[in-house]
Parts: sequence; structure tokens; C-alpha cells
Amino acid sequence: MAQTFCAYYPGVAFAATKNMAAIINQHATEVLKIREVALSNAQTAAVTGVVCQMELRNYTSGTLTTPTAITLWSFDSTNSNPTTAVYGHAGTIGGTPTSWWSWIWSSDEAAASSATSDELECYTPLNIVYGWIPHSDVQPWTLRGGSTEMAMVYNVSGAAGLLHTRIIFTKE
Amino acid sequence: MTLHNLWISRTNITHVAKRTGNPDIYLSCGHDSHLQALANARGKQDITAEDEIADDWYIADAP
Repeated sequence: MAQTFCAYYPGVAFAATKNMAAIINQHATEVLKIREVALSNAQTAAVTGVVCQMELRNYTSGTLTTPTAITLWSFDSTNSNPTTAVYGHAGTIGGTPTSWWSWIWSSDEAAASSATSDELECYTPLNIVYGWIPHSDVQPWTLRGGSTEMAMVYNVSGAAGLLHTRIIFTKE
Repeated sequence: MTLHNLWISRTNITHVAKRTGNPDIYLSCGHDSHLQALANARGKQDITAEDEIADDWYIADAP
């Protein structure tokens, strides 16, 4: 069983062309495999939310300059963290991107006794934007350090509101 | 232009509507009608009756 980790990016403010959550693998031989990417509406104060256009991106030769770092959490306390990896949001993005999934997201706050997009975004599994298909024939989203690959939840446009992101991955 | 005409002409739901005469407010173009956008914004921003009937609204990128 592969060592499994969670990168949790809580309450990140939306902004256009912003890195909302990223992982860079910089190790020559360790491979990081993304198993799930989930979002949740984190806006609790009243705000005039907008429609945000978001993407999943894979970067080669990926870099992040001065991101806001997050602390990795391990599913098993005996695990050892990936040797050379970066986890953070915001910062200056570098590298060659490939956008391979896109969706729209409401940044308005959720309300009680309601079921619009703002509320539905709060419910698992509706807010899972990537989940590895658990079959031996299907590869997970893989980050190879030899190419300094970076996985990113990217906000193309839209602001106001806050977002929680969770990325679950294994180290192999 | 008025909010009514702006909503007819909007092409991108990620944009916002703003007023030259009141730069402090904005409405999300992500609503089906300008009335829904106003309803969502009232109580969160200081939007007046004057704002609702003004004819100086324009499309802008989200703030």
C-alpha cells in the first residue's frame, strides 16, 4: 500500500489567473500520483459572488515563486513526506501548462435551507473535480520530478469568495 | 446602458456589471436576469433605487 497524503488549502481567496492549489514534484525518482481533487465553498461572510472559470492544469518544468505554503498531512503517522516537493497557493507561476479539465464555480456564500449552486458545491461527491478511476488499467494523474511536473487548480477568471481545496496523492 | 439592455447583450457569465456613476458596487453577470442579480446583491452592497434605473452600467472583468 502506497504512502498517502493530503494537501489541504483552506480558505484561499479567489482572484483572476491565480494558483488556488498546487503541488510540484522536484525529486528525480519519487513519483507522486494524484488520487483525488476536491473543492468546497469556503465563503461564510455575505459577498456578491461571481461565476469563476476554473481549470485543472499539469505543468512541465513547473515553478512557483513565493507561494503561500501549506503543511502536508499524512494518512499514516509513520509515513515519510515526499523528499523534494512544494505545496502552496498563489505565487508566480512558471512552466508549460496543459489544461485538461475546466468547470465553472459560484463564489457566492451558501445559505441555509437552499439548494442553489452555492450550496451544492459544499457537498461531497458533487465537489470532486478529479477522482482516479480505481482500476488497474487506468493511470492516475502522475507527477514526475524529472520533468518537474506541477499539478494545479487554476482560477482563470472571477473573484470574490473563498475556496477550500483538498488534493489526495500517493508517493511511489 | 440600462441593466435590462446590459443583460440582453452580456456574453460571459464570469463578468460583472458596474456603474460609472457608482464605482463601489457591482453585480454578477452569472444570474439569469438583472433582477436576480440585484436581489443577490441587495443587503450585501449599498445599492439604491437610483442605481437600479441608471443607464450608465457597463460590463467589466470580475474585481
